[in-house]
Amino acid sequence: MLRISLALAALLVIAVAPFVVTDPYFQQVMVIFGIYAIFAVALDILFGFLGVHSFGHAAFFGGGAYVCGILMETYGVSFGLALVAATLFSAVLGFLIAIPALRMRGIYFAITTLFCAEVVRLVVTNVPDVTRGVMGLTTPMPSFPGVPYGYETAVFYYITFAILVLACLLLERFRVSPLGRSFIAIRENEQLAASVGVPVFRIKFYAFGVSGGLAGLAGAIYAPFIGIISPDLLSPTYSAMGMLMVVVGGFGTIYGAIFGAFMFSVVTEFFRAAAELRMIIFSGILIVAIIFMPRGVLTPLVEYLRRPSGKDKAGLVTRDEAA
Amino acid sequence: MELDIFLQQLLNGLTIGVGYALVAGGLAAIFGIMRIVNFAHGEFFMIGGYALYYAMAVLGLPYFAAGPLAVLAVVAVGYLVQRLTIEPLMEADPLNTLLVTFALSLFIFHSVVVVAGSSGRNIDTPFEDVITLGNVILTEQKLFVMLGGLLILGALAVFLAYTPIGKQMRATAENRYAATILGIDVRRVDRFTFGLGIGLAAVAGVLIAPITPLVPAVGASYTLKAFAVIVLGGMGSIPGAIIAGTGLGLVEALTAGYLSSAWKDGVAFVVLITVLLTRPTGLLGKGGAH
Amino acid sequence: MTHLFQAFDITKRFGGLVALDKTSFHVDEGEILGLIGPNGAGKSTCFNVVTGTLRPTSGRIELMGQDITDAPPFVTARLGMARTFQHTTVFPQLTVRENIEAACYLRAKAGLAPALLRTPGYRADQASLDAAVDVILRTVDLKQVEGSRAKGLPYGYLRRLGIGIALGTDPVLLLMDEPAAGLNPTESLEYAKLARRLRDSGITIVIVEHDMKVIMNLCDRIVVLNYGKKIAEGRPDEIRSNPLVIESYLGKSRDETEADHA
Repeated sequence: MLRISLALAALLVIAVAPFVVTDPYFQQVMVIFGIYAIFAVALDILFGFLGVHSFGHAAFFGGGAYVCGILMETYGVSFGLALVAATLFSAVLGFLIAIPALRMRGIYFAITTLFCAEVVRLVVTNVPDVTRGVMGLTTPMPSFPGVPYGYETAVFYYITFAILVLACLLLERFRVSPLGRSFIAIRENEQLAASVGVPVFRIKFYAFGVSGGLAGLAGAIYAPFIGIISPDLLSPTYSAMGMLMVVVGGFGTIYGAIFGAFMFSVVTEFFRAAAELRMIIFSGILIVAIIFMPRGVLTPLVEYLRRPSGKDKAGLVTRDEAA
Repeated sequence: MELDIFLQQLLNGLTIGVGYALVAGGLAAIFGIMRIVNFAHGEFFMIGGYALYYAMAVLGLPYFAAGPLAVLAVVAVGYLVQRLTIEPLMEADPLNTLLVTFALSLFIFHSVVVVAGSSGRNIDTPFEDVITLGNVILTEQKLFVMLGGLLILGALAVFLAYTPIGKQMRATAENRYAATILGIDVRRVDRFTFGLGIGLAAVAGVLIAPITPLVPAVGASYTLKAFAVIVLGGMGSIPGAIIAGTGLGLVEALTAGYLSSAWKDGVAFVVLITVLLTRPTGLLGKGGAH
Repeated sequence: MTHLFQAFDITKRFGGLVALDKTSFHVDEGEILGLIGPNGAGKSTCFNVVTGTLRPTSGRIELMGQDITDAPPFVTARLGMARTFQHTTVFPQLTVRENIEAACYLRAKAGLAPALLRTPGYRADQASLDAAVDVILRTVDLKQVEGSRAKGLPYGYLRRLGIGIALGTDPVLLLMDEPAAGLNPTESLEYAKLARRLRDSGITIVIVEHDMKVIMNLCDRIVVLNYGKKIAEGRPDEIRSNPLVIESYLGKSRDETEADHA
């Protein structure tokens, strides 16, 4: 019951937020938060749930952004269609990268994903006829029929959060389903998971597509919202940004990924004067978090809050989730 | 004429290749001995260049004084980094060191951007003259890079072969557990190894910075190249890294000369992914980590 | 008559070393077969080849008449062959119940879409899965700790959980790798009881074991390996009096170093 009330409360907050926060700048920050949260949740599918540590997720985020940007700017495709195309593109890119990467283990896997992302960045940088190269690609603000001028941010907000809520709902349902349990089984012990019949490679392969597609969708909203994108979007900085959100929030929990995105987008806005210091502060936080709180900031806290109800109670909570 | 172009590219490639060999040699040492993957490795190359720049431009030191000072400063930073962030994680899940060095690379990169800006810096050295051999042009600094680099690599080989700490490093690389039983202070070896690896990257930075546009992003680029090199050379093999590093420099220069300079960075990636797929233990190495 | 499981002339070489040399054996439905041998006899290699973890250099393996020689573990599991691991191999961060749930992958019938849409079919599937998990938890006597995280459990519990995980696949044939290793005498007895119960419920069992006492009291039939070769096969009393077996066990210290390389 607690979970349902919390979820309803969160939905209510999301629904009314644009009416409470009317400052256009903060509305933009909220949209960025939502976009980052989708990206973080996408990465967490691999990182947290499956134990597959992709170091090149910027390729999907940036790839989605570029596909959306190019389709809208150069070919005049509508925003909705561009979103779908970008998602599909990034999903296919996910499958393509998964093929070599999943044959590697450990650090080789990390290096391969990092390098695949670099290849994508190199291509985007070096085909200026299509992508405008390092100059950056401007992306037009989509036209939303019936929306008066000045309310585009609000539309972006609801689109972003609708996708985020839907993604979280589906992921949570997936997590407690038998298939989701086998995901976590792979993370916990791959050999044992295979011994009980879990097709490890196939699941990782599909997960790459889903995670890549979702990250691409986040990038596809980002491009027209920000208005201009550059190959920097494909750099390791953005891959690290995703990991940072997932790690700071805590692996393998949806709320952790969202919390990480919140920290990264909203909380840093309070240090707006020190905008340039943002990455320094956050990479510093990441370093400290890994050394002192390898399970994230939020996860130990949540477990602490659940603890008073006792061991067996914890088991019952799990069964509630499963039902 | 054809031959001249070829020779010119060969020389350019050798110069950059020596830089790669130094950076990747350090990375290979760190991986081979400590079994950690240092994603921040190229950043130390980059801050080596910036330390050189500031020592010359702000302190007014000549190149030969500023160079060693820059290397020492970077090694000091590297030592601190190792003690504060890597040593506490040596027993933890390898993913943690992977993440920490990844975060470190961003930390260093963005710190340099804030301090020095993202525009390029030029460094003048005493070797500004140009040597011409027929139609082939060679700047003195390039010659200095090649000779200096080879000297340092030679010294490294002697060091690893004959000094006690060098022998301890090789023993630790061979079998970490056995090394502890033999009474080797593995922690000390780790600290030394990290310092040495960072030192090699910083030396490369001091040598290469004057002949390349020095921008903060050069660090990440060198990290990626160094990874390609150590994968090629067999993870953790220092001689492998040196050969593969020089080779990569040559192939890149020839690609730039005959195909396109915009795509030369792709060579490393293509080579790396191909090697990983076909020979995961490297072209030269006999075995790496599993 | 066809056997439930058959291995024909399986050989496994590691470089120049022959760990398993043309070994053949079979398992009949409803029996408990023991696979024994001194240290380094090739038991573990045999186990890993049979379960698909290692591929044999040559030879053929059949399960219910189907060739599974090159089948990876997730396929052999699907065909009804489950295994336990030598040490305490569980999903450490999950609760006991979640461990079993995760192992019930093959029992789940509803696909992805029904799970996401929460269709009535999915709910029914979930209910039957829940019931199956309860049965397994009671079988391995872990119902009382179902909510505890696997990580901190005592050793004996973890061994039982390992068996519970294998049962999650609803196996026809269950192979256990040194199930009694590290158990105290009471736990060993309980383990033997559990194994008989499982056999009575229709699961054929193969046990690879070092401990002769457990094997002799539990198994219907025994296959003895030494130096990668089958040296004897028969009922426990036959094996007990077989001179080759006695020699291989008594004479083992002489060749221990050599055999340890396997």
